[in-house]
Amino acid sequence: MKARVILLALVVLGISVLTISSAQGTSPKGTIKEFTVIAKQWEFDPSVIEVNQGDTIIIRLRSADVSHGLFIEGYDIGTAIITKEGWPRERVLKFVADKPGVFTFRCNVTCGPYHPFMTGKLIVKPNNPERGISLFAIILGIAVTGYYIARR
Amino acid sequence: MAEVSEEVKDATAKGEAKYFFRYDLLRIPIIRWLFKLRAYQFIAIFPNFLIFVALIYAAFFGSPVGNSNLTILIMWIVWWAALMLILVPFGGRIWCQVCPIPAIGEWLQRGTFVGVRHKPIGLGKRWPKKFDNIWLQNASFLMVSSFIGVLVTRPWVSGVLLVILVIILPIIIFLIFRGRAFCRYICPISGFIGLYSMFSTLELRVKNRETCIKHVGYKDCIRGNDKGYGCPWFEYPGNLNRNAYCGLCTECIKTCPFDNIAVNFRIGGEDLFVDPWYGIKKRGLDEAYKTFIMATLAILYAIVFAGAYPWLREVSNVLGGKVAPLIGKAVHVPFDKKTNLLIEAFSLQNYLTFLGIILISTLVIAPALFAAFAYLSKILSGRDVSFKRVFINFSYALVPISLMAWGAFSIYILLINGSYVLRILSDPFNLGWDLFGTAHLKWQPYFTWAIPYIQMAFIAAGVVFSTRAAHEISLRMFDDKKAAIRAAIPIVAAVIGYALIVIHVWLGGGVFL
Amino acid sequence: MRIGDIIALILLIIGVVAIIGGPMYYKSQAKEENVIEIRAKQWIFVPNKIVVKKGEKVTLRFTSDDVAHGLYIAAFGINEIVEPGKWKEVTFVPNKTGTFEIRCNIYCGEPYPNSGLGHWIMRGILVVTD
Repeated sequence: MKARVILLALVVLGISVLTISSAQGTSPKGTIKEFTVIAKQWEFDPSVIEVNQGDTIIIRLRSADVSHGLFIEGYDIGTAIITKEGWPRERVLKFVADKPGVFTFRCNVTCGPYHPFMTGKLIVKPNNPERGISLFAIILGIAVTGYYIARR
Repeated sequence: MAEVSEEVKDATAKGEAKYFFRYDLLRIPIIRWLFKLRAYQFIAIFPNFLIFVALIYAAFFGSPVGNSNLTILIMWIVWWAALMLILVPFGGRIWCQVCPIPAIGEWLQRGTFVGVRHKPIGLGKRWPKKFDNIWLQNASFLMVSSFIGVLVTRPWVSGVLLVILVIILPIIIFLIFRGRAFCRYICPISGFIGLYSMFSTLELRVKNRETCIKHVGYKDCIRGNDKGYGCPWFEYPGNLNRNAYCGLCTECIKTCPFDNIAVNFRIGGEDLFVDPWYGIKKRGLDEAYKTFIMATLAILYAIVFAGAYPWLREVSNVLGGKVAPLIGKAVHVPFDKKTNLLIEAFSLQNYLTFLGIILISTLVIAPALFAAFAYLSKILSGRDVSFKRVFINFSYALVPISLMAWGAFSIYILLINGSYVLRILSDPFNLGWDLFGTAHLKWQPYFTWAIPYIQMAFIAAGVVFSTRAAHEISLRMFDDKKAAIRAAIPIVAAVIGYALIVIHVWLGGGVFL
Repeated sequence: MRIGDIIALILLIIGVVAIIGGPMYYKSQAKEENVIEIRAKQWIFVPNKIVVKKGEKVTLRFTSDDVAHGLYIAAFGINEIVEPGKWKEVTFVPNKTGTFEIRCNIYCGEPYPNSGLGHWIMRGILVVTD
């Protein structure tokens, strides 16, 4: 009986931690951050973009070789460079990073065999989702152990 | 008539983990009828066999572009996800029951498709005792992994693998050895399905072990009779208390004269916690290493294929052909000067580097890290169990969470690439068909907002089940409950540590991984 | 169960033949109309020489095996994007004889920077006869 109470309490604590940390909260007035991202077979340069929640992000996409695109999962926005003669060689993606966490961005124009793995990471700080779920995992491990300690 | 001793009854109890719920599916008439049907295996394998024929054809004659190729999409996205998310956690080795890979070999060896013929074709040799372990499967899986970059991106490479797995190897192995030696000892997929099946909700067991003990003389389940073959997986159903090497082929269900076989849906009762029956075969280092291999690769693949490490990704592309100089940024790509054709050349440099990364991370680093926790566990227990025993037994605690890590990986791949799968169904051979109207579907990932939550749920479940496994294994290894808890704590720490790494790989960013 | 085995074998043969034969039969069918298939890959067109008759309607069916290429035949105003893994068609009637250039006008890479090779010399020939 006692074991179950402890278990339940810890799990409830964990879920609360998780919920609170995943919340987006009010977006503070952020700065404007500009990045020039060069896509090439099969990577982005830079492959990691770090910003703060609330920032306005401007990504200037260019290609060093063939046609590529850039699509940000989670935000679900993107753009593409088709390297056709006369077509623009730079496209701009502008958005507000209102959701915290880490978002994978990937190429959305088939550009060779390794196209499906052409990825990078957009880090929007503070990374509450990771902190929350990490804490939750620790609490769960402790909770189950607590259950085994307390039971007969 | 042998009497059943207390010792046996006690061992029977110890050989099982506690079940919360267990229901024999053979009590359902349609399932019972199907599994007892002589032709059932053929009926179940037939559609999959045709699918694999289509995959082999599409690998060589379909589109060379991976995301428009039936073989790549079905093998590495649909089939892989189906295995990791549904078939293995809920069905254990149920895939092995319907798998077309050994089909040609088994049909040839038996000399029949649906009948019972006890005059096997081929040499019928016994599998050598020295190799009665899964080291060969560990090796075959690692070998496949070293090519994983090109396997999942070049259709023809997957085609070659399929030809080897479906045609060449089965014919050779089934005509040299008895039974399903290929499945039990060689097939790379079988290795991890067997390990993870011990965590699944499906099991094949005898209903009553005493019935088996009282049945002296000719054992139909291992020798076969007019109704079916002796167990081709070399198991004795009477001693079966682990799913690891039972391929659910239903032969014993057909042959048992006492109808003593049950196929249980179960909750609890994970065979992770127990030794194979009656100490006949102790849990070994081979299975422990399989755990380390799978657990490590779940992380490594996530970093290589969905991460932000271009260098790592590049070495996995062993047909990349890029000869990157040691200094400087100029990249030379092999091409034919006469025809101006880009050549996909095998890069030994890349291959050896990637192979090295795989071998060192799975066979050295992961086991060494776990050994540290296991050593701590042994010290904390204050008991006389050997370090090797502690190390091996506790390694099974990683099975649930590593399966969940694969689940997190597979659901990601499935949702990101799902639109390609819908598209290929309309035009499987890239001929311009439009069977279901989806041939012109644009790429679009599905439910990206939900992916972190789903992955989080998998990892949370993994922590719960692996922590439980650690404690259950510990309780069975140490006689004293307090010692068992002390010993389990470092293992729980290892489980949580693994979970944190998986979380960081998917939801984290920054220098540390 | 000899009958069972015979049925099983027949089913297998039908299944395998249908799967392998089906697409092959379909491919042989498609050649009846005046359709010419072109595959673009880094950095050639396959075939790189096409011969057609003046005044005869011809359909070019093209795809790419790797990256986005261009199919640019200036003489007949053909200016298409060749997408990887997808087939596209363009139909036209060649109204003048001669030898015309097929060029890739979407940059598709080169062996090394400033090579002047690769995309820059990716060409095909369209010959229109009487």
